[in-house]
Amino acid sequence: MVNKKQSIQKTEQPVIVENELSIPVIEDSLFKSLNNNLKNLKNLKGIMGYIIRNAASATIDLKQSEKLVEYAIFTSQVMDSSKELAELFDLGDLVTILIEGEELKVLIMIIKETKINIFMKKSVDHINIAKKVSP
Amino acid sequence: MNSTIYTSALKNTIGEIKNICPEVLETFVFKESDIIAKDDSSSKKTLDQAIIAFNSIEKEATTVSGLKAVRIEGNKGKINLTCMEKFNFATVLSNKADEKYVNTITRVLVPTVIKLVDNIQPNLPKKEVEEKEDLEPVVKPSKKNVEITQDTQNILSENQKPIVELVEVPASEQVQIVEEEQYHKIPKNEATEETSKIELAEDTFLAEPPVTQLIVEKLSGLLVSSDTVRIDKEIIEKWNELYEGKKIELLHIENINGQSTKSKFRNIKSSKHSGKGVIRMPEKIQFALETSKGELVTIKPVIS
Repeated sequence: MVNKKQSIQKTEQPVIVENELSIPVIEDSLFKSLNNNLKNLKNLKGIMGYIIRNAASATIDLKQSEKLVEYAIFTSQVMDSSKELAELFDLGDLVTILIEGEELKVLIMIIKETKINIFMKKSVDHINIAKKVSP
Repeated sequence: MNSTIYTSALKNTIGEIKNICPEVLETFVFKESDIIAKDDSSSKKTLDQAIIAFNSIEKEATTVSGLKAVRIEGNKGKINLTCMEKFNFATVLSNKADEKYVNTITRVLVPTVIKLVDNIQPNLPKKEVEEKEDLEPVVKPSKKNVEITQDTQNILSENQKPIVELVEVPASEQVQIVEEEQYHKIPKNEATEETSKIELAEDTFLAEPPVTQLIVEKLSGLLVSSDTVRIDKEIIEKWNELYEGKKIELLHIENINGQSTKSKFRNIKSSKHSGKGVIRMPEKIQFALETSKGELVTIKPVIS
């Protein structure tokens, strides 16, 4: 699998961009810090990649780049539905969302304005991952 | 899937979970768009919207090879969804809840209860379960029933319409009759909220004898036993399956006027009469029952 890393400026939804394309972005310190934490994680066994984005920036690093659109649609749907559920049951502001599938799991973390989606194998300890990512 | 027995069992389970863990704010069980069980504090409208939201996630979950669980945490509370084989189980927790403890209870208790309900209904075929789930007391004619009805029409004279459609009532439906009657009294939108009593005593689950309607055919011959009727092998097999370990030596026959008698029985050997929905009856029994060829009788096994 070829690792692909992209940085996009001012995108709210993940967008497929060409390989190795790197656009200078205005990154705030939180985004930068989180991004660094994620970079350190990506080589851990079972981690399949991540998407980090805020209102101004986004970074995508997926081992299976062809899955990007699929992952983006899925996490977007999960976010919308989770917001709805949080309102219905008065859960307050969303902090984390974990989706467990048969083989994979997706950890979504919302830290201030930054949303992080981490895709991993089911065997990965997501609590440990969340601790490592948190600033 | 909206079987009242699941509803009742799960509603009790939900109640117990809330008793054990007061931090569990709401709990509900659903399948597709149907609420199977919920606690009294939950509003149907809220749960319907929640189910739509969960189903939206599930719809896209091919990305993760099928949804198993969802955990959404906010700064005031969290919601956990566990997808089980038959149902989806959701719990809303306050932030004070010991999540590990709640998960241990719910992920053990709920599947166990579902398994228990499955085990006490071993003879309920899937198709019948679905029919029961709709809670509509309408017996859909099977292919066999249609054939039987057609035969009846052929046998009866053209001017004489069949009095009753020949419908073989499965034993499992007999078990559920009490619940069906209860359902008639409950408006459809409240059906899931009502609790029906479950008797866990073993005897309760011994199915009531299934009633089968058949057409009388004359049985005669030199070697024919005058106290034995002949019925389809399938009916006997069904009874044996239903009452495994019980002795069935006699059957109860009743004519349309309510006169009845008991008789020994054997299976129909002749392929000409087999599978036609007939009961071959010696003249002696016909006489005792005041019935004759072409008339309808009902039979049920006598369990000893």
